[in-house]
Amino acid sequence: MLGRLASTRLQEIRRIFTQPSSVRSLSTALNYHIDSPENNPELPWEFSDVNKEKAKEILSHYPSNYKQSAVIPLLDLAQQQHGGWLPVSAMNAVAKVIEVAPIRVYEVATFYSMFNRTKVGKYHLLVCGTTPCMIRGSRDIESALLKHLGVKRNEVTKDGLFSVGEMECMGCCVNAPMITVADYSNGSEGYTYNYYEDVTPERVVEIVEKLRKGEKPPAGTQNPKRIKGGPEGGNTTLLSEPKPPPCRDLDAC
Amino acid sequence: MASSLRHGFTKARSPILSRTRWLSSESQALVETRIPDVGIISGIPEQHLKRRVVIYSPARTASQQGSGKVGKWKINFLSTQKWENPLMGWTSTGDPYANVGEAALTFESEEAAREFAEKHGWDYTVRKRHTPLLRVKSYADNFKWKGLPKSEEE
Amino acid sequence: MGLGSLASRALRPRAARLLLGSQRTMVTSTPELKNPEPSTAAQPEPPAAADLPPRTPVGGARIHFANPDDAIEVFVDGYPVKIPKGMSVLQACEVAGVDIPRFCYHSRLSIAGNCRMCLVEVEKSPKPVASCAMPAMPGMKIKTDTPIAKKAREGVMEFLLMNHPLDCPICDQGGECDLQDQSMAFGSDRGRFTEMKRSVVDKNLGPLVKTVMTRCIQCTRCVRFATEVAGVQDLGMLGRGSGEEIGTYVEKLMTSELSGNVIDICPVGALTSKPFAFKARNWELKGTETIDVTDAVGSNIRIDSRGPEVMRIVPRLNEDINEEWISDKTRFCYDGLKRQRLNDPMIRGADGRFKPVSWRDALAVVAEMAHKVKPEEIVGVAGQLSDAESMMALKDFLNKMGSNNVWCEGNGSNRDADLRSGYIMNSSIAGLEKADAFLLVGTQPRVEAAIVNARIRKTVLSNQAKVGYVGPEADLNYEHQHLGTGPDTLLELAERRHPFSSVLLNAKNPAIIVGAGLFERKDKDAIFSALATIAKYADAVRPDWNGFNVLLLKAAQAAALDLGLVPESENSIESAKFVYLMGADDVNLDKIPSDAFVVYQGHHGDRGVYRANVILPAAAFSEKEGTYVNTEGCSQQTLPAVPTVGDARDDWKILRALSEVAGVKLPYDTVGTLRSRIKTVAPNILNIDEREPATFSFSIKPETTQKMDLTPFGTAVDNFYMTDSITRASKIMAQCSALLLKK
Repeated sequence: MLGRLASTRLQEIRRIFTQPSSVRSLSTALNYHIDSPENNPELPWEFSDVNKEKAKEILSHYPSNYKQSAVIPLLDLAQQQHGGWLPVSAMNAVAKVIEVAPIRVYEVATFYSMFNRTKVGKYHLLVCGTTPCMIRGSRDIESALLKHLGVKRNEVTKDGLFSVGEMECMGCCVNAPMITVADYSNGSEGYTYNYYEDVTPERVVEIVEKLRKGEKPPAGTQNPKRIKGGPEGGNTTLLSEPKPPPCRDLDAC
Repeated sequence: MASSLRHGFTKARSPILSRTRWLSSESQALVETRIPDVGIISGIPEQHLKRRVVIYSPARTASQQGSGKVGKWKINFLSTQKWENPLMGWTSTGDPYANVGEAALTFESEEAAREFAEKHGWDYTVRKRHTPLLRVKSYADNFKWKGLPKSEEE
Repeated sequence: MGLGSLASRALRPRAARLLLGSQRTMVTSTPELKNPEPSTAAQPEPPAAADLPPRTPVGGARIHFANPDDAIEVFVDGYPVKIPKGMSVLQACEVAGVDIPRFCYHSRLSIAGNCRMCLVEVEKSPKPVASCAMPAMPGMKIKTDTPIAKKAREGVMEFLLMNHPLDCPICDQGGECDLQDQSMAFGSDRGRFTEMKRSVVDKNLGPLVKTVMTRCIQCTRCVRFATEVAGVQDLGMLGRGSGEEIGTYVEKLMTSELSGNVIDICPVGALTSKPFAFKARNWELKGTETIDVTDAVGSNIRIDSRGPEVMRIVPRLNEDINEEWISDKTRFCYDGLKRQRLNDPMIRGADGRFKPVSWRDALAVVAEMAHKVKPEEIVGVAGQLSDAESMMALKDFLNKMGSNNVWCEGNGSNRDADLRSGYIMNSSIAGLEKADAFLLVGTQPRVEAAIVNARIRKTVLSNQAKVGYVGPEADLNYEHQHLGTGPDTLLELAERRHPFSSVLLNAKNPAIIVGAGLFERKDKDAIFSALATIAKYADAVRPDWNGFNVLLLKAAQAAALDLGLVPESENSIESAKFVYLMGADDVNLDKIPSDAFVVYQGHHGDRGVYRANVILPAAAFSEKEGTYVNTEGCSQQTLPAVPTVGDARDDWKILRALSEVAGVKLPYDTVGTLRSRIKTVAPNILNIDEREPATFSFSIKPETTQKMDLTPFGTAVDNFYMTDSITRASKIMAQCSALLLKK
């Protein structure tokens, strides 16, 4: 009896899984390092002089015996300096600055998906894949981008300009779907991280083409009928002056 | 044989058991003789009544598995004697007590093991049982304040 | 009160229900778990404590009350226990004799609280609490076998087994696996997980630790061990979520001398022993509780053997000596016991080759040669693995032959053995934890005694103890100041010219640790007198604290000095005509005159054999019963685990037989009578498992007219993995020294 029960359950499960499953893979980044000519511990890596000052400023936020608190800002700085990704030697450099064992930095860098440990394009396009954006068609946007650029996810185009990644919710659900463009073309000084909201598969291709030409497409919502996060076509509620809240009796608190 | 064994065990369990008996020889002189209680009556070969054994309590495994078997006492018969089967060349223990100590005998307490050894007339030594020491540990220690920064590094 | 009984207690309600004949045919394994409610509502209060059988702490644990006033009372399953303030709920349960299932918690590591297996119910707590991370509060009512606790465990177990492969039949941990045991005791008999299991790339951690990372349950015990105890921050937890894995990120071998312990602490088969892989199942093994002789620490070990073969060595608990750790040398030297063994008495023929002979012939030749030379030309050297019994027999035999030139290698040629405090670790290994400043002189504890080094490291981490080190450049795995390389620094310290002197002065319990490598120096007395000066001004030797320690290198050293194995004259070996090497391989063999007759009695065909004229095969430490005194003066005994090889005999028996052939019969026939002889010389050696502190402390400054030689201190141990004849014969140790030693 149990056997039958189990086999029917198994069949049910199989049915669910034989449905064309999406191309989504869960995690693509490896959690270990493989030496390559462009990423190995022997390569020298150092903060640039400007960034050394910045690093000093970041470290000054923390007590001198809690330097390891600066690991995330420093990794971010290193990533901006190194064109959007962290080679193992950059992590070692950060470990040296904050005086911890390198493995402690690797742990942090592998934990956060925002730290790229493989090469990315100068423009790293991050498509939001969380529920509201997904419902509003983020998968189509991603496939449009991938098709237009002719790459797979987390792959860099041949000219080294673009790569597409996925990110979880970036808090822009009101204007879903959205993509983020992390611009590493100008190093850490000219680094920008812009949201492009209300995108459509056509619009993202236009954005990519503009970026390719070196233009800076206006960030924010791409829906001309919308002002920032407001509703399309102007406000529909809160049309009158907002009423002040009834005064609370503060003494009663 | 079986009855004599049983007899021996009931005797061993009785509280008024005395391990020394006073035998009077013909010359009326009292001679104190130590006789292993089980030994004589059980038919155990005499060479096994004069063994040296070690009483110990097996340590908890280092891999921190369950503690069910911890705290029991065992007897190590110090037997490493092996015997090779001349026909097949298999090696087996050359001592009937080897597996008794390893697998068969466990005691709830050191005293029980001592008594058992005494009963058999074995010359025993007892190994100290090592127990863990519980110290106060706290999860919060992971986040303990490291103290003020060293001034010279300022 | 083990897992099994705990589980059976938890299962009892179900059994009762079955007996009542309820006709449930549930698919879930345990009906009462369908709706677990807080036990206060469901169950009547447990009977008063008086009715409960008295409980003893798990494993007979003792409780350390730092401050007796801070005791609080909590109730575990209705049974009141007194525990010190600040203990966790899990520890309180342990005191009450309830073994809480756990994976990530380890009593000697920091608390991680990430496996959630130790969930218990606490009254008035809305949810089950992770008992390892929750401090026990006064009056807390902890319930460990309620439906809530049981369901929580079952749920955690199901999660843990989700990604755990079902490869127990081919897993080396099978049969001694925490996950296996606990899933039997607390798990459900089925899971609901039908997706693909995760798989993880195996890591290469070196020649000792085999990894099958797919089996890992992310308890992080190995990460914490490497970071906290071993002091090599190589392992880490990488990634997040289901992709989380243990690793080193960049390929790196684990270069700790304690790395083998991760095999023990791993609750699953993710980290297993590489040399032991697929060799035996743990239930086939016979465990013999004995001690280790590869260094002077005397770590407590269990030799697991199958038939006549040593299969593996695992540590056993001894809070005073090795806690629960052993060094890699101790753990993996065992394959040396099977190689290069001497199994028959042999005599070197005229052609320079050894010819096997009978014991009778060999002994007759030795006795004849011994009588041919003058008594003062007879020299005996005990090897570093010798036990006290055989050293006593050697000394007695040589004395009866008329010679008093008998010593133990490593003790130097002019060591005086009168002051016991001058050669043992006076503050004891466990006592080092009380120290707040260390001065290491000519010793690299990391390679000389890895377990002692772990203690020092523990102290440095917990007490912020300062460490000053005098000696050649060394890699100590804790914060230390390298004060200098030689005696000049020592002089500066003695004359309080050195900045570290103030550290020693301000310390409450300063500990000075001297390496036994200095025994071999000619200016040893001058060094010890400088050290006595330092100890004096630092107030290191007081009635309540003795911080003057000598860290010995070899297992036989302390017992040899206790027995008075000191040579009569310094240069006896150069003028020797008859040399009796009892397992001594590290004596300077070139110094022996070429016309001398050398007898090598030992178990391995090592250096000594090349110079020997006669070989008398002896038993190794795994095959004999012998007493050893460790560096802190605690005497312990080995027990035989496996039979000897070939025709080998116990060392003391060979000497006893030889004495009879030589006509100077030693008056002992049994180990018992031999021990009573030892009792007349050094009664402390027979005080097994007890540390015998030195009676006179190091207050008397050794009178010396020696001048200190300013050559820097050397290293006593060049290769941690190969220090004696057993480890030199070991293939695993050879692999380790090839791969792990820093070039």
